[in-house]
Amino acid sequence: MAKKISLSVLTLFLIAWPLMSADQFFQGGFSSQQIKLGIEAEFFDRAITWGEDQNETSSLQSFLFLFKPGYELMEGTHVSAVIGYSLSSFNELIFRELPFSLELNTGNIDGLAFGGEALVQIVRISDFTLSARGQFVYYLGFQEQWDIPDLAVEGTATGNPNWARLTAGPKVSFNISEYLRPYLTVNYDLLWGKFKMDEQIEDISKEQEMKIEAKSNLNFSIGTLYEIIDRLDLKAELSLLPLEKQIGLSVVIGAHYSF
Amino acid sequence: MKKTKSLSVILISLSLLFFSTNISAFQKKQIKSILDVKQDLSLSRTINQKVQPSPSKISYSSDHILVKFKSSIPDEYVKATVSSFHISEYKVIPRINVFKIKVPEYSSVQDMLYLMKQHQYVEYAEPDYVAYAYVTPNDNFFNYQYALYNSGQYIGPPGSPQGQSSADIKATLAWEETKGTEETHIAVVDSGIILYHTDLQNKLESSGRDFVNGDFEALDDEGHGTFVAGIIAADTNNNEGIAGVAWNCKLLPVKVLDKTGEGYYSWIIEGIIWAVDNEAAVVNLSLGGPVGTYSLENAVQYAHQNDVVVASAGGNDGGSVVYPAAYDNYCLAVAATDYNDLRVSWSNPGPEIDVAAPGELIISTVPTWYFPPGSVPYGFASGTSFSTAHVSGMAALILSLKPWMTADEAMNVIRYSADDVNGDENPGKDTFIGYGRINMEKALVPIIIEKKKIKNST
Repeated sequence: MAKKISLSVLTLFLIAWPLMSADQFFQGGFSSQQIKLGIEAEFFDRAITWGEDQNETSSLQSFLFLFKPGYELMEGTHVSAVIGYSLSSFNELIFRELPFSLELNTGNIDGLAFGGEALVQIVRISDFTLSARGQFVYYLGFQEQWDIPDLAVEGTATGNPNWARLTAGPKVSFNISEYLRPYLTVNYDLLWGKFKMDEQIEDISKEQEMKIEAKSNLNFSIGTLYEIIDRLDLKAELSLLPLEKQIGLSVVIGAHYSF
Repeated sequence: MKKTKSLSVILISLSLLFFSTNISAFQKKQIKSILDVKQDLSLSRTINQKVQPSPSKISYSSDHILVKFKSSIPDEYVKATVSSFHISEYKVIPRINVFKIKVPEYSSVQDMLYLMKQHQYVEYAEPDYVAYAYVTPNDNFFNYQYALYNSGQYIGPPGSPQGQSSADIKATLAWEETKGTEETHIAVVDSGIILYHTDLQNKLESSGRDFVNGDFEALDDEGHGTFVAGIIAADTNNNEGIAGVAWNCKLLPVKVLDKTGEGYYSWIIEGIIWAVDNEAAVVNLSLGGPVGTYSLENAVQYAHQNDVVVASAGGNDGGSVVYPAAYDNYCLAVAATDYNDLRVSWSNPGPEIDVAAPGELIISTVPTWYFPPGSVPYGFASGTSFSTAHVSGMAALILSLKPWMTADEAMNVIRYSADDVNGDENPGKDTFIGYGRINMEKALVPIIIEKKKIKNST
């Protein structure tokens, strides 16, 4: 329920913000409207829960290669679309609601990633800037098929994964110099998804849909933007998702060019 | 009408017939006490079957690796090498001089292994793998139960033949996944069960139903049913006797064979239907006759339609598969293998055979009156009856773990998970052992899907 509400709020925000901004734009209220193109690569590794009552834990590892066409409405405030490609590994998921239980150890499953993000500057005091940022990414894994080994007859397993991630939270950045802007964020970080597994072994045909959820919904990030040349920023960000005995992490590197 | 008439004739004829003597004949002759068994055996030990390693979950320490330096490298060089990797903690395992090295915080197991393997002083570097204690029950005679776990041990007291390692149904590995539930009942439709055997008395769901004497106490006055019951679900891990395949499942005794080990089809038919109506998940039919009848077929069909798995013995005379095992759509027909994973010669072949399980010199429970006073109430016997009992126990574990399964699904899991142990001579499903010797591990433990991908599509 919380996810649905959060998703709805973010969607409304993503739709409404450009409209509101466009109104101001046509009134000539902005001084730095810019088209921005970004490319980013991200890797994350985080604990997920699954199974009956979500009582089993494993990790989801994912590489994301994202293209981010965006529009800067004013300095520090922009919206972007997110389009790209992802490799996601769901190793150790066990499908016990199939006649033959199956455990995934297939490595990465490739798929499409798309969504949107927004950054809104709230206040700027001296060299400090407080913003709100949100991002929604949906991973649609390509269907893959694997042999079920070691049986007396041939069998195949067909997997269809997907996940969605919604992050939102405040961002505090500091202008160390004209070129270097490190920042800190705390994010509410939801991740949920499904993995459909279809088992076909001669007369046996059964499908199991497994719900997955992130175990931790809070992340702390540290990052920096570095203007390497005029209009070209480089970005590096490390996020940690603390849990009792382990820490999930996310690493992002990217580059953004403003026209 | 004509069909009905001929059916009536068959039924009347059958009502005058007893069951095949194959089942009744072997019981007292073939059940041997533990003390007798070594004197009577003259069995081949020379069989050479391919043994497949059991696929187990592989994991290793995330903070240690094991490294062996070349023996020609002086100690000070070794220590200098260790220091050069900023390794703060290590321990040398004596005698073999293997270093158990803590992976530095800045590194990972994979990186350290890679670096170590590149080093000129290192003979080998490997992860510190995790080994698992397989579930081994503490029952006194478990070591004789080669059918459940065969390490190549003597299958009886010293002097008995030795089995071939892994010629078993992989019960110990499967028990890691499930030991069954008390809610899963296996009906032993047989000669009854001795109700006060210490290895069985806690495993009985009720005193059952006696269709021979028309009462509700299925007492065994023959021995066969007690023997079958022990294989399926003897009290396990109780420091006594044997282990049952279905540790935690309950037995439902249904007496349909009299004290000579014979019974009318009508008793068996009623017994099957009573078992289904009394919530049995599995019906074990370690019995059979040479003639098929509509009513017997209807009874097993009734069980199947109610998603009850029926396991039935293929027969012990080397002839055709007996009934009801021959009702292919409704029964799992079971053949027998031995402690070397070979089909035994007396096990009936036929296209109806689905799977095989160990049936040669199986140890199990016998009634306390069976042997002279002072003997332990356990004995050895051979037959497809006892192979069938293993299959029934396996079916009960499958249905304990996945009670939503249909009978067809459970039967197919048993079939498709079998090891084709005669694949060299008869690849695929054959008339001797069907799909192969049952493998509980494959049926119950999650199968690891590896990277081998068939295709990739959007």
